Amino acid sequence: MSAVTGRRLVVLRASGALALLLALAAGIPGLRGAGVGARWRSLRDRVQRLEARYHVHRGHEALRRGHDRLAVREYQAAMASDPAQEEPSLHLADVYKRLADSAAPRDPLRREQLRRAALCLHRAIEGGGAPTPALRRLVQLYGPDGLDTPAGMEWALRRILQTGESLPDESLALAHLYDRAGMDREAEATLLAARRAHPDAGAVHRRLATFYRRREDRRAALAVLESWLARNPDDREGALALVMGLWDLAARDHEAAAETRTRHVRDALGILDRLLATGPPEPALLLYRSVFLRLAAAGAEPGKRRDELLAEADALRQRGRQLSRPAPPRPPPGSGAP
Amino acid sequence: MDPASSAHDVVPGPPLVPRFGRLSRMTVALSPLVGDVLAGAVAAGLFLLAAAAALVPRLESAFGAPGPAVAASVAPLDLLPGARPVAVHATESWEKIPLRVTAEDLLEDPTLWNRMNFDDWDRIPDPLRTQGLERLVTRHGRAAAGEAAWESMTAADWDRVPQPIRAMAVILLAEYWTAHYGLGIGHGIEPRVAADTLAALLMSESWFEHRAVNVDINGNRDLGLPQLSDYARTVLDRLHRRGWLDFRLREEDYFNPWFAVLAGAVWLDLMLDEARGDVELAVRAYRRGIAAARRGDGGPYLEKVAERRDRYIRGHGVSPTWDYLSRRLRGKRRLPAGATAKEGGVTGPASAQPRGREQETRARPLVNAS
Repeated sequence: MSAVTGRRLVVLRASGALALLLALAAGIPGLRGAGVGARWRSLRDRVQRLEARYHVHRGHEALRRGHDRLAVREYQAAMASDPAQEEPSLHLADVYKRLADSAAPRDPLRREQLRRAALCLHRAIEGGGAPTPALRRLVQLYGPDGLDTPAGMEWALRRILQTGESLPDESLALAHLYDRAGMDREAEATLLAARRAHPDAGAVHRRLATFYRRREDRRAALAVLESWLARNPDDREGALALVMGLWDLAARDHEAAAETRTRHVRDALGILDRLLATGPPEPALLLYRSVFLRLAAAGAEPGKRRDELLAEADALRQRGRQLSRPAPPRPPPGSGAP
Repeated sequence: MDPASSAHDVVPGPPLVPRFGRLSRMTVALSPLVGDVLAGAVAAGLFLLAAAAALVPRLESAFGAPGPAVAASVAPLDLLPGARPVAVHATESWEKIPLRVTAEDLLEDPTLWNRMNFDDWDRIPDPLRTQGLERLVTRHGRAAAGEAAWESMTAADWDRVPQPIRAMAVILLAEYWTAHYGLGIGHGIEPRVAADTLAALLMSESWFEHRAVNVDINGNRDLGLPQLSDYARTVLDRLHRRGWLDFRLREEDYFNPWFAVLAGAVWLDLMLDEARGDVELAVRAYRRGIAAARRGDGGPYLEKVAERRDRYIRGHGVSPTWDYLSRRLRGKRRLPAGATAKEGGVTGPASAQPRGREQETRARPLVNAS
C-alpha cells in the first residue's frame, strides 16, 4: 500500500467517523427505542405529508396571487402526494366553487365546476378524517343555489347526523327536505329524533309543532308546544305559537263546547300576561291579547266586567297598532282589498 | 520483496474464508477500503436521515402556515328558500297582527292561510305570493268548483277555506243563485248586473266572513254572509210556510255560504220587487228597509256597494291577489251579459230543490212584505 493510499484511507476513515458522530449528534430522536423500519416508514409518511403541504403551500401562494388554475394544480398534486389529507381537497373544492360562482348561472361549465368541487369533498370525506366540515360544505354544494340536488343534500345531512356532531339546524334542514318531498313519516321521524338529540333546542320543538299544525293536527301541535313551554317558559316564540293555536281553538272551532273555548281564552290570556310581564310589549302580543279580551267580553254578561274587558282591549289595540306601525311595509298603492 | 516468493507465500496458505472462494478472497484483500467506504456511506446515510428528521418538523412548520381560510359552511336552513323568514300580517277578528313566519309556512300551513285576507297576501312579494296563492287554489279550489262541491260542503268545511278563496266562491255562488232564481229578470235587470250587485252587497255586509254575527243594541242578530236580520229570516220562513219559497233554512244554515247566498239572493229579489226594479232603491232597502229607503236612507251604504261592485267584483288592478284568484277561479265562469236562468243551465241543490218547476216555485214578488 502506498503512502498516498494510506493518507486517503485515513481521511476517509476520519470523515466517516465524523459523519457518524454528526449523525449521532444530530440525534435522530426516532431511532431511540423504536424499530428502525417503523421509524423509517414514519419518516417516509412525514416526508409525503411534507410534500403535500409544500404543494398546499404553493397552492395558497397561487391563490394569493389570484392564479386559480395554478392553485388547482398544486392542490391536486397535494392530494396525489397524500390522499389522506383533507385540507387540499377542501381548498380545491373551494377553488372549484369560486370558479363556478364566477361563471354565468346557466353556463354548463359552472355545473361542471360544482360537480368537481363535490367530488373533492366526497374524497375528503372518504379520506377517513373528521368528515363533518366536508359534509357541511357538501350540503351547501348540493343546495338550491348549487347543484340543486335534494338527494345529495339528504345524503350529506344524514351522514352528518350519523357522526353525532350534528346541529339542530341540520336535522331541521333534513326534515324540511322530507317535508317538501311529501315524505311525512320520514320528516316526523327526523324531527322526533332531533328532539331527543337536542332536547333544549326550541327551534326543534317549534318546528315539530309546525309539522303537526300543517297537517291540521292542532291537538298534537299544542301538546308539543305545551310540553316544551312547561320546561322553558321563557321561549317567547314558542309561547306566541301556542297562543295562536289557542286562538284557532277558541275562535275558529265552532263545534267546540262553550266551556272549552272559554278555557282556551283563559289559558291564552294567562300566557300573554306572563309574556308581557317578562319582556318587551311586542305588537303581536298586545294585539293578540286585545282580540282574546274581546272574545272573553263576548262571552261575558253585559255589565261592568264586560265594559272593563272591552276598554282594556281597546287600549291594547291602540298601543299594538302604534307599535306595529313603522314595521310593516306599506301595501302597494291601490291595493285595498278586503 | 520478490514478487515470485510473495506469490508463493500467498498461494499455499489456508483460505481465510474457504466457503466464499475467490470473491471472498478479493473482499478480504480489499477489506480495509470497502469497510471504510461502507462505514462512510452508512454514516452519510444516517446523517442524511438525521438531517431529514431534524429538517422535517422545521419544513412542516414552514409549509404549515395557514392558507386562505376555507370557506365557512352556511347553515343548511339558510340554504333552503322555504326556511327563510318572511314578515306577514294575520287578520284575527279584523285586527292586523304582524308575524314572522317562514316562506315554507306561507306555502304549506293551512292555519296560516286561514289568518290571511286579501290585503295580507298583497303584502307578500312575488313570486312567493303567486306560489302561495297557487297552493291555496290547489288545496281549496274545490270551494269554487261549482254546485256539486257546494252542495256537499258544510259550514265547518267552509271554515277551512281561506278568505281569498271563499270570496271568489261567494261571487260564483252569487252568479249561480242569480241564474238559478232569475234574480231581477222579472224587472228586466240583466243577470250580470244582478249578480254583481248581489256579490258587492254580500261583500259589504260581511266582508266574505261566513261566520259573521252582528248583534245590535236590542239583541237582534244579523247572521252570515248576507247578514240577514231576525226579521228577514222570519219573513223567509213565513214565505216558505205559505209555499212561496222552495226552501227553509235553519239558523245554522245561514253560516253555510251555499244557503246563505241563496237567502241573500232571495231577499234582494224581494227588495227589487219592493223597489219595482229600481236596483239602487233595492240596495238601500236591503240595508235600511223599504220604508226608510223610500225616505232616502241608505245613501252611504249604496255608495259603498256600488264602489265595491265597480272596484272589486267587476274591476281589476285593485289588488294583485284579487286579480290572480279572480283570473284563476272566475275566469271561465263569468256570467254572460243577458244570460237567463235557462242559459245558466243550473239545477237546484238537493236540499233546496224546488218541488215543482223552478220558475214557478221561486220567490214571488211580495208587495209590502216589509
